[in-house]
Amino acid sequence: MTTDTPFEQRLRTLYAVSVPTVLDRLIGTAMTTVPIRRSGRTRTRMLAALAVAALFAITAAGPAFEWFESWHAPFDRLWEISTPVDQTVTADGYRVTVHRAYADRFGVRLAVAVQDLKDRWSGLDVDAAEMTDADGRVYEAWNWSRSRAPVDGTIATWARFLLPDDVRGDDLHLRVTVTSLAARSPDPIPFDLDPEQIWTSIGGAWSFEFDMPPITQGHAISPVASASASGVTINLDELGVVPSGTVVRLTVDGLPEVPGSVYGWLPSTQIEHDGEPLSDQPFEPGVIGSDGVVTIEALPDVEDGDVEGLAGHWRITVYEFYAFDATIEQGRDFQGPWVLEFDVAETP
Amino acid sequence: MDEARALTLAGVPDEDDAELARAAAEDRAAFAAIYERYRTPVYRYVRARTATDADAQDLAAITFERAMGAIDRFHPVGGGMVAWLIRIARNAHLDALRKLRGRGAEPGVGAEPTVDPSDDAVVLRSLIDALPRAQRDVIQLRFAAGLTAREIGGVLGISEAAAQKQVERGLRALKEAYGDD
Repeated sequence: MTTDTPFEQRLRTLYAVSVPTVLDRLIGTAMTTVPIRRSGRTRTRMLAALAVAALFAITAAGPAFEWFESWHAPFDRLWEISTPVDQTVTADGYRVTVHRAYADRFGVRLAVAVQDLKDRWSGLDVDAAEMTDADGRVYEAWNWSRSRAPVDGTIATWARFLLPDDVRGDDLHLRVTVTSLAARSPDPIPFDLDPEQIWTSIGGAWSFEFDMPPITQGHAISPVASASASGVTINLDELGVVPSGTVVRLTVDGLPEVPGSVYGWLPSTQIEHDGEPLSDQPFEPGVIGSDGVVTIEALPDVEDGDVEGLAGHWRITVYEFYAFDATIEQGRDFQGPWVLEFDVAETP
Repeated sequence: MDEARALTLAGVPDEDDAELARAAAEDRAAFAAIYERYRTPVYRYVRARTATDADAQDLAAITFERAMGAIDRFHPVGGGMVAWLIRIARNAHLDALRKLRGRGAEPGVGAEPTVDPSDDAVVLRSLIDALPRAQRDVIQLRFAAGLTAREIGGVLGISEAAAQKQVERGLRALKEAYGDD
């Protein structure tokens, strides 16, 4: 059954080309020439060996780019510019590995993989983690991007923590403890199941300690830019370019409370630099942190190459805010757009 | 638990795809079933992103050859095999663009540069090409490859809900440009 509008049907027709027979021949030839890389049996043996190795409490995990690669190209870049940590802790049947770490003026990111050694779940996630440094400062956990579903019982997460203001420029000795995992039942989910019951929390303490490389400062500015609509005012707090991409921090005033939402209002945004849109596709939407600031990360499209400087014309558009209110089981919109536009003469 | 997870619950493994992949990893001839099932969405997708039939054939061939070489690493997650194949196609296209730029050539993407206003298809294609890259991408994923929001999410590494929103945003922009409000 299709629910396409006439306009959508026209678009489908536009692309409805037949597959040329020459392609069939090309693939037929390739099937006789492309070698088989590895048998399923070999793979099973390798995974069994990995599971045995995982019984050790703390080991050097080695590179595990396999879990992170092809997830999304911008994350490949993050992997490249981060520093190996490669620490693994196995406890209570779960193997948690911190593979890489990266820090810039906006925060710390960790490439974390979690493996359920019995591969029981259809979903697995780091539910909560705490980060502190040698001086006892607390780093707020913030807005993690994760792989979609377990592969051989393993999920990959880029965990992000906001950097406290007073640590900028410091070398860091960090302690990270994963305090809770979340697991989703492998069984089909009945329609009438309470959403609170879909995921189960698994408490524990998977702890890691490591030194971070010096924080990459990059460039940041705070030009005056604001926009108001529908009783909501958005001000630009900071715009920065760091090796991982472009970061925009906005203060938002006037949004009502959403008591039934964990994350609150999630913005739908677009950031353009000199007319070119930057991509925020690999990242979860920005969330409002405990300091009331929305932090949005964006990257130049992979087709456009490296991260650029700050100079040029910037246009930051917030189209809407969206929240899911669990108490009424409905999504709520707050419509804009709010457009912040300004020029930066040169990179400071 | 939280709404972000509730919005991504559609990531249910497709065991049929997994079975096909396992068979093709053991016996290359079994790859024919994968090609047969997914050749149309892959070809239509790469055709939407290239200027000529020949470019699209090359890109589609590269896509399936890469898939053959990596089939033992396929796992039925993130939109299933079609999303996996389209991701490969997308990366192959980006590789091709980089090589073209490296040689100082301008890549041919999408429609011919001359727009005949009386030809609805040409007008639509030119408007799609003029969309911001992210919006153009989701329009091609939805209407050329015929992907669902869940599958688009699998390709782009975003949630199903976020993918659906991007499609709606792209459609809205395209309709406005076309004058079909």
